[in-house]
Amino acid sequence: MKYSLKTHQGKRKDNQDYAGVFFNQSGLLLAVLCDGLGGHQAGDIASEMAVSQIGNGWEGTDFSSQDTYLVQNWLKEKINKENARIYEAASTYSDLEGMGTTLVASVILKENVLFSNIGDSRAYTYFNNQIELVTEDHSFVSELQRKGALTDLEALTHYNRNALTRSLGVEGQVDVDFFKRLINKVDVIMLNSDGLSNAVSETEMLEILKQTDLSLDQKSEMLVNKAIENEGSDNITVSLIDVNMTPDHKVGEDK
Amino acid sequence: MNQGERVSGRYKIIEKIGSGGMANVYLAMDLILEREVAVKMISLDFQNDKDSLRRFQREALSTTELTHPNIVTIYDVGEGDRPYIVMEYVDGMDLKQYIRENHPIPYKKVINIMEQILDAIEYAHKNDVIHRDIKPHNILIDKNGNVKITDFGIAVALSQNSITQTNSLLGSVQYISPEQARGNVVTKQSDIYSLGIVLYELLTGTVPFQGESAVSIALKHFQTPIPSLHEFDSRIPQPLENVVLKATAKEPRHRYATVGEMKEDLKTVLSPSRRGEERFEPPAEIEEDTLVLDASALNASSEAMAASPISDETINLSKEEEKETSKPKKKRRWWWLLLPVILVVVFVAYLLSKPVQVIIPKELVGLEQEEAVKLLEENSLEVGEIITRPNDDYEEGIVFRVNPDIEASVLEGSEVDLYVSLGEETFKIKDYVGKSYEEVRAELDELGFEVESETATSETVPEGSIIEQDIDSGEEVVPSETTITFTVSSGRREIFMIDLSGFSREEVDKYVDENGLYLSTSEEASDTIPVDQVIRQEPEKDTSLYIGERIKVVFSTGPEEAKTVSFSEEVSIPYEENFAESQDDEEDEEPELLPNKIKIYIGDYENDIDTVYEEFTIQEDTSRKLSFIIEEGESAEYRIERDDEQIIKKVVTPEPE
Repeated sequence: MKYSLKTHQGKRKDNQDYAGVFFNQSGLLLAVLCDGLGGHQAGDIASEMAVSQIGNGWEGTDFSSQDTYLVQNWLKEKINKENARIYEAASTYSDLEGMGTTLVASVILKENVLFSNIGDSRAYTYFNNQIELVTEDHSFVSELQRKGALTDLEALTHYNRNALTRSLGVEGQVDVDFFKRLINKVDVIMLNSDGLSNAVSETEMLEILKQTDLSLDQKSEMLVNKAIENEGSDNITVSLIDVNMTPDHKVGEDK
Repeated sequence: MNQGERVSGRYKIIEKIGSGGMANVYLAMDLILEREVAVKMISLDFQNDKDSLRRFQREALSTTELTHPNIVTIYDVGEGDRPYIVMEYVDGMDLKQYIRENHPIPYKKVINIMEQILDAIEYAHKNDVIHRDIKPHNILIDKNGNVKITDFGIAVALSQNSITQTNSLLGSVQYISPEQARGNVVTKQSDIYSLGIVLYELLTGTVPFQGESAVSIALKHFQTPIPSLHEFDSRIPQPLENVVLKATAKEPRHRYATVGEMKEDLKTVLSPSRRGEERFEPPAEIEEDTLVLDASALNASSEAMAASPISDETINLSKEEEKETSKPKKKRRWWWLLLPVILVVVFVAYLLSKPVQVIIPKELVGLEQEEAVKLLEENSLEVGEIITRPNDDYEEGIVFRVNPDIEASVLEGSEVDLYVSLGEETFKIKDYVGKSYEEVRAELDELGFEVESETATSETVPEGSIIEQDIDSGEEVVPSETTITFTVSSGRREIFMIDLSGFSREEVDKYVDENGLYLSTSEEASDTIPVDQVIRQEPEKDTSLYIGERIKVVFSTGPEEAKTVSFSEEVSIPYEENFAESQDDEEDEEPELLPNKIKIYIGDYENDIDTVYEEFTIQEDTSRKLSFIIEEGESAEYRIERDDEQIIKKVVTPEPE
């Protein structure tokens, strides 16, 4: 499995995004990406907590590539557990008050790729020269837009476009959305924080992803650079995973 | 912040008096001016984001210029550990709490509170400050009933920062105007809408639109008329309800033009002279937006057309144009002949120059496709794509959705896509037994089935494959209405070996039978485990086994029999002459020899040395072979009594071989 992670603080002074790739005992890949919210340094704490805890938990499991259902359940429970931990920490320590994080995760299974998300970090798939947005943002504006109540233009310029309707660590309970795509309809998985999707259009993403002579690292680098070039104001993080390059993975490979 | 902590060295925290989505408010002592103040600490980090910080400060500072008895005075804006705002301390409660504690509030009191609020907002608007977040949380009432409004403009300053506002958003969205929810430009009319909602809440104790999420509430602001206040309180005077209805009209231009106007209206709502007022109805959209050309307007325009080139002037300007028509007309006679042509030209020109807004009729949904097409044409709309989809709610051939959505306002001539139902889509259930559950689930999930599973063990169906389905193959069902339950194999039945120690033979047999195992047994002696109980088992406890596997059990035969040795020894028992006493004195009589009475005692593994082993008589020296059984290494003993006198006593051991 080949993958590439790239992050940049953008115009911000520090980076509250956090991303990781983890393998379980059976070599199944889990990619997680979180975009921390709020508080002084608390945003980085929330995103790092979520990624590391879920990742470490994943490394201890031994699901096989056919256990789609079990993996989904595991993720749902684990994410909720993490939600409770962050919520707890945020309500215990005044300097962590108001912290939270988005989350987008993906697991490559035998027949499909499983995605889950909370908030406005996204998962895209690239296949056959096309790019598809898999996840649905949990933001006030996106939800209204999906209901057909806002036009694309209204959504793009909405003063409240940053307001999330769901995130990790803000309430005691959190709903996790899951999406699936058949594995033979996916070439590359892209997870990203809104710093990328707000600054780079899908057309621009596709331009980069479809170039055959570039390595994954070069592509993720180009995506991040594109966001910077387009004056993105937020932290920018991209995880690219090539689903087809699947040399047998050995547990413990460098992340 | 804790009690005693200082903000920027100057404001000493006394206690926390409130908290909201993005801020906590503390009562504090201004150590320089020696007065109580309220300090609002913003729980947001602007460190990262200088733009947001500047915007926040600018917004907050702009409100420091507002000086009004009904507006909370801002003293200071700063950025210590976190951004903060220092303001006038109001000893009282917010309007939310006030309503909770005092509902129902007498109309006169409601009007009094509302007038103070309106005074404040009117003043702010005159200074070109739009509040943007009017809600009872931001309206304070002190102990004397004075109303003070706080948080001018801050909502927007804060919303720019990337943060989860789930809670605060939910708190505000109940009061925001449709255009604000849409993210459009916020105007003074948006504040008026929020004021209308606050008045609604003052009168009914509740907000008009409730919902689980910010999104569902926003949608209601867009689409749902304000619920009737009379449902809550049939005595509410119509003029008073009308103030709410007019302030909360969906279209900003149907609301009060100014807060002053709203205030004037509110002042007289209880006056008897206004009894019998009609319920306020916002002008119907269609009349406003789709202009119907009446003959006179058309005439006026057409004459204007003759005098001036086609322009994109609107009909509203026709009066000015009439002036032009009053100019001398030289070729009036032939001009009349052209009137019909000109009318058409003008009409077309009008259509071209001023696109007319049309509302997509809500009646479209539920119509047959042909009728829907007809209705679109009647409304000067074009038919876009016809998309057929299975739909569970509408019968085949019925339009179940349109795009753009019903009641959307679009330009005349716009294309409207019709989604036509194919009826409920049915699906023929296949035979899934033996197939991979995950694959089948993915397939059925995609079709809209509710797929459930139960697991069971199976000796023949591999793990993860389907053993049984609760809907027979060949049945036709509607996926979205169907729950199909599969029994999925969890593989061969696995047994975890229990600890059999102490089990009797019967109990072991029962365990083996019940779990479908085979049994091999063997036996061993044991000093500690009673006969016929289990000594050992293989495999050990907790080992997993499948049906049909063999287990081995060793039973006890009880304590081991001691190993004994038998041996014998020849012993000669000497005879002692013993004459019977003569009964008579016949000397010549030969004395009679009496037998000896012999008793042998043996002490060995089986016999006790104090118990007679053998008793007999002898009349001569007799040899006797004595047998002994002893435990290995032990010894035996025997003794012999002759006529009750011990003559031999000996300890014996076997001859070493």
